Formats: sequence, C-alpha cells, structure tokens
Amino acid sequence: MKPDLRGLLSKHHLVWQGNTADGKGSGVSTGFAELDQALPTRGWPEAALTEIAVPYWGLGELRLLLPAMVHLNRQKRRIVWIAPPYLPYAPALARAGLDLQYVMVVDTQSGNVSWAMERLSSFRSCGMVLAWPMRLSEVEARRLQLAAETGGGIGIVLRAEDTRWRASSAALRLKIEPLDGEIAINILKARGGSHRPRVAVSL
Amino acid sequence: MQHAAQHAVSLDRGTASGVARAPSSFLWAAVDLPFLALEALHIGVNEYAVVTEPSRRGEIVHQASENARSVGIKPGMNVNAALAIWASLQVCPRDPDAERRYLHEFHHWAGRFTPTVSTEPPTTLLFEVAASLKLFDGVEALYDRLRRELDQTGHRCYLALTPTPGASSMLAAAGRETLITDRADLRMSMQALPIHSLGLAGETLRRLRAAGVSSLEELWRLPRHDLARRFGPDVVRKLDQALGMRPDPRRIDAIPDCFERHRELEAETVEAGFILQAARFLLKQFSDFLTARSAVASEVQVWLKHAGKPATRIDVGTRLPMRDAGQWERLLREHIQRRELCAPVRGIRLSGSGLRSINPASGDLFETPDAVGDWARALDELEARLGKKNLWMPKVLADHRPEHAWKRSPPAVDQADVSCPPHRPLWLLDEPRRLNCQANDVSGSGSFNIIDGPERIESGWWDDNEYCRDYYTVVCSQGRRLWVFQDLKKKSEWYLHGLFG
Repeated sequence: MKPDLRGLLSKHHLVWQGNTADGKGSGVSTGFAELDQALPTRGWPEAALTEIAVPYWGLGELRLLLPAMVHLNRQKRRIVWIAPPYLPYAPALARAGLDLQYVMVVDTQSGNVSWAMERLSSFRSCGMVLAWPMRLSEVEARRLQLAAETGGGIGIVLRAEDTRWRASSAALRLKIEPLDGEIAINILKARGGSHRPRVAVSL
Repeated sequence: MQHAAQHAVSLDRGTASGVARAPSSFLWAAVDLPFLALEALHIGVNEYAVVTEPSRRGEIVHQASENARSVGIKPGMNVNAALAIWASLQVCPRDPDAERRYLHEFHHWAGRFTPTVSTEPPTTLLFEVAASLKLFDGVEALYDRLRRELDQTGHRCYLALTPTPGASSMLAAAGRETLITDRADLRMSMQALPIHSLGLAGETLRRLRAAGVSSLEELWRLPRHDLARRFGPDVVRKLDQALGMRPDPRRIDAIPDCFERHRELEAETVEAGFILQAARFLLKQFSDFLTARSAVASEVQVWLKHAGKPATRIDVGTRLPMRDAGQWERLLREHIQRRELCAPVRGIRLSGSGLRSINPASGDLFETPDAVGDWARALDELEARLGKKNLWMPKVLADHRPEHAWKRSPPAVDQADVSCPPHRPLWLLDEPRRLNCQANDVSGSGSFNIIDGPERIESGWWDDNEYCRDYYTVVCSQGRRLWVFQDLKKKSEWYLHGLFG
C-alpha cells in the first residue's frame, strides 16, 4: 500500500484494519509464554469475550485458565463460574492459589446462562466470568461481548461443540485439542490479528 | 375554595433565623379528614351518597357527600328522610375498620415528619413538629410541604398548625386551614368557632345553646368563675387547654412495628403486570413506612390471594437491607414471573420483616449505592431468578474424604483457613462413577496410564460414610487427566471421581 494512501485511510478511519493497534486491547497474561506471544493482547483479552471450544471436558481447559484466574484473584477480583459441567472442587482450587472468597458458582439451566453472565460481566469487580452454555446464539454472544466491555473483565465461554464455522462476535476464539501430553491451541480468530494459528502448551 | 388558608402568620421576623422559638414551645399539626367515612368506602364526594350508622332511631346518616349536602341531606338525619329528599341516593353502611386503616396510613405519613403522632378517631390526626422545623426549613416551608403532600393523597382534608393540640384539632375539624406560631394569636383565630368544636358532652352543649351561646367568642365573654359553676369544669378546662394555659396531654401512638397491608385488584388476573402494579403501590407504602422509622428491611412476604384457594406465598429477600421500593419491585417481578399461578389473583397482601434501623456509620451506603451495594443487588436479582441454592461459593473443609472436604456456602461469607492436600482435581463428579474395568486393566493395559498414586484415604469411622480408597491420577487414551479410585471395601471396584480439567 502506498504511504499516502495508508495515511489517508488511517486519517479518516475509512477502513477498519484488523491488525492495527487500535484493534488490540489490554490483556491478562495466560501464564504460558508461548500462548501470550501468539495473542495480540499478550494474554486473555480484557473487556472482551473469549470463546474456547473443547472437544471434551477435562482436557486441560481449567489448567489453561488457572494462572490468569489466580492473577486476577490476587487483585481481589471475582471469578464467577456459570453452569459448570462438574463441581469446581474447592480443595483443588484453593491449592492452585485461588482465594475462594472471590470465587462464586452459579448453577442454572441453559436459558439463564447468558442472562446471568451478562448481568455479572458488567461488574468491574468480576475479573473473569466463565460460562458453559449449551447453546449460544449470535445475538447473545454480541450482548455478552458488550457486557464484558462495560465491566472490563474477561468473559470466557467454554463450549463442547465444534463452532468453528459459525460466526461469532467474540474477540478471541480458540479450539483446544490433545497433543501427546500437551494441548494444542488453535487460534481461530483474534481481534488484532495473530501470526501463529497453532500453539502447543505444556500444562 | 371557601376554606382558603387563613395564614395568621406571626413569625419572629426580627430574629436572624426567622423561626427562632424557645425549645419548650410546641407546634401541633392537625389533619382532619371530613369525608373519611365516604373515602374509606371509595365513594367520591361528587356522588349523591351517604354513609349510615345504626342508632336508637334506626339507621341515620353519619356522613353525606358534598352533593348530598347541597340538596339538604345532613348528618344525623334518618335514612328514610334522606331518601325522601333524593330518591336515587347511594346508601352505604359505615366501615370503621376501613376508616381506621386509612387513618393509620396517615399515621405512617406523619411519622416521616415526627415520631410524636397521635390519632384522634374518628377523623383527626395530630402530630407535633416543633423539633423538625429546622430539618424542613422552617414553619412556612413545612406547612407548604405538608399541604402539598396531603393534596397528593387524593383525600379531602384540612390542615392546621398551632402551638396547642386542642386549637389545631378544633380549627382543622372546623375546616379552617390555619398556621399560627404565637400563642397570643390563638384566641383571635378561634373566636368564630362554634361551641360544638370544643367536644363537650351533649348535655353541656344543650345547656350552653339554651343560654344563647353559639361561638367561642361568646363563651369567652362570660365571666370565668360563672362559666365553671353553671356549665361544669369541663368547659373552662377545654378552653384553657386550647389556649395553652393548661397542659393538654395526648396519647402518643407508637408507630406499629410490623407492616402489613393488602390491596384488592380491580379484576382477577394472572397477568404479572397487573399484579405488579398493585404490588408497586404497597411497596411504596412499605418504603414510606421504613422511612418513618429510619429503618431498612431485608425481607418482604407477598401473598397472592385467589378465590377459593389458599394464597400463594412469595418470599423476597435481599442481602443488604434496603428501603428502595423500585428495587423491591424488580426482585418481586423475577419471583412472580418464575412462579406458576394456580388460579387468577384477586388481591395482594404484603408484609415486611427483618427490619432494622440504619446504622448511621453505614448510612451513606444506602444513599449513594457504591460497588458493594450494586454487587449485593445483582446477587439478589440472580437469587430471585435462579433460586437461592443455585448461587454458592466453594468452601474448603478439613476432612480427608474428598466428598467431605468442601461444601457449598452462601455467597459472601468468611473463608476459614484450611490446608489443602496436593493432587486434587479441579472438577469433581457429583457422585463417583463406576468404571467398567478391572484392576489389572487400569494398571497394566494401555487404556490408562497411572501418573500418580496410590494415595490411600481411609477415614470417616465417626459417621456413616466410612471408606477406604486408593486414589490414582491417570491419563486416559483421549489425553484427559482423571482422578480415579479403587474402593478397597467393595471388591476393589474402580470409580471415576474427578477430572483435572
């Protein structure tokens, strides 16, 4: 692109460019250097929604999120779990370094998951809101993204189904897979652009 | 209106504050509701209607609407005589309970201005406001405010403010809206009052009338010692009390501690919107009630009344006690929308509990909602919609048995410091799930790889959940890390108990 054309475009904001600085926001380190490197926000994007597709629970999705949870928890920000598929086990969470005073679980049916998430995401004190919805429509995802922008926390939606081909307004979309002893993280979409589509992480 | 406020204002204008009064002086407000009996039955003053009560002479008119009066129907008249004047007259028997309820509502309203409130049945409410003058920016501002709020109630009523309770209630009952702050002006404003204003016994009144006395002015003209001798000591006492020359103690009613009100719906309905509309009205009253007591509440009970079926009870609780009617309504809406109604609703009863007075130190919490208040409100809404038990915080307990080493605790409680063992999974199954394999399968074949274990947990002899298990951390062929155990008591069966997530 010619320099004067580039200047004209950026001056008048005629075209939104995915890989420019203003598409990026701040992030909270994931605790895994390889993953941080691959993400435009150098961590889990704050004030945004992240969608993680997991083929089956227990693959390492919680261990992937734990370092960021602990970091937020130390700042006395809440970690809210909405409709988790199993019981978040208190002794293990405490062992991992979470202050359970700032951990809350909301058990609910599918219809109320996005409502509860939207309501809680809009709070500044909620550092991370995790939800396991059965279904999530594009409209709901959009609303969750807006709620996360209001509250400034990290919104995480974990989904068992393969949603790769569906449109979503989440700022970051990942799909994790087992990879002999490690897990592979496919970056399906990252607002701000990512140059590495696949990262292997050893948990 | 013919009863335009007759402001006999005599404020000490010379002083700087304008309302400088000796602290010992009183200022009594009297509100008289001349059409209370009609209004309690929801009868407008523009209808041709009378409220009747039984007497020795049969049913007589207790109160007549304005239109009924205009055609010559008067209180005390026989009902048949009234019907002879106006054939299509609406005749309703008096409902003293409803009247008392209405008077009580005014009691709550007055409680917002002062704790010294006295109801003087049948139609008058007295309250002492001298101590509140500073708060309400002086006597004139207070008078205007009282008048404005009374107008908003939709009841016809008269307001009088004078230094004595007797003068206030007499002037209000006579329909003279008055504001007097100086005792010296009392006699002047009261002289035109008819003698029945004094509330004397029937016999005394009859004798006074026979003597040609009809107004207080004429009464005052008579020699004082003569008055007592001829008409009894009551007359002099009441006159002296009205002018503040003799103490006039009044029974001060404590504001009732519990709040309970009901409201009938205009039609039976299952529409949440209509039910909430009625509830909003009651919640507003509840909010006023709390304001009067400087209190906040943490619980509201609502009964939805059905025809021929027991009422549906809804409990609405909040974690931060509050008095904001709007927030109560939001919570109640979630409850009502969630509830299946067994029958149409015809009325609502609302009562409040968990009352406590506001701690002055945390007063600003309720005035300017901060993050803590917002968070508590959000949790209340979540609980109202999802159910109380569905909101919890994981808590660690000191127990070796994995199922007993944690519990659900309601949000916002203190966490005890308990040491936590290593090698625990982040996900726990509700119940251990039996695995269809034998011991040698797990340890020997390729379906599982043991990466940690065994950890023997043998505990619980003190209750019925005694067990003996060997726990292992294994990785399955899918790449999941699992927490399994071998139950050494049950023929060494294998169970899945957790996932490392």
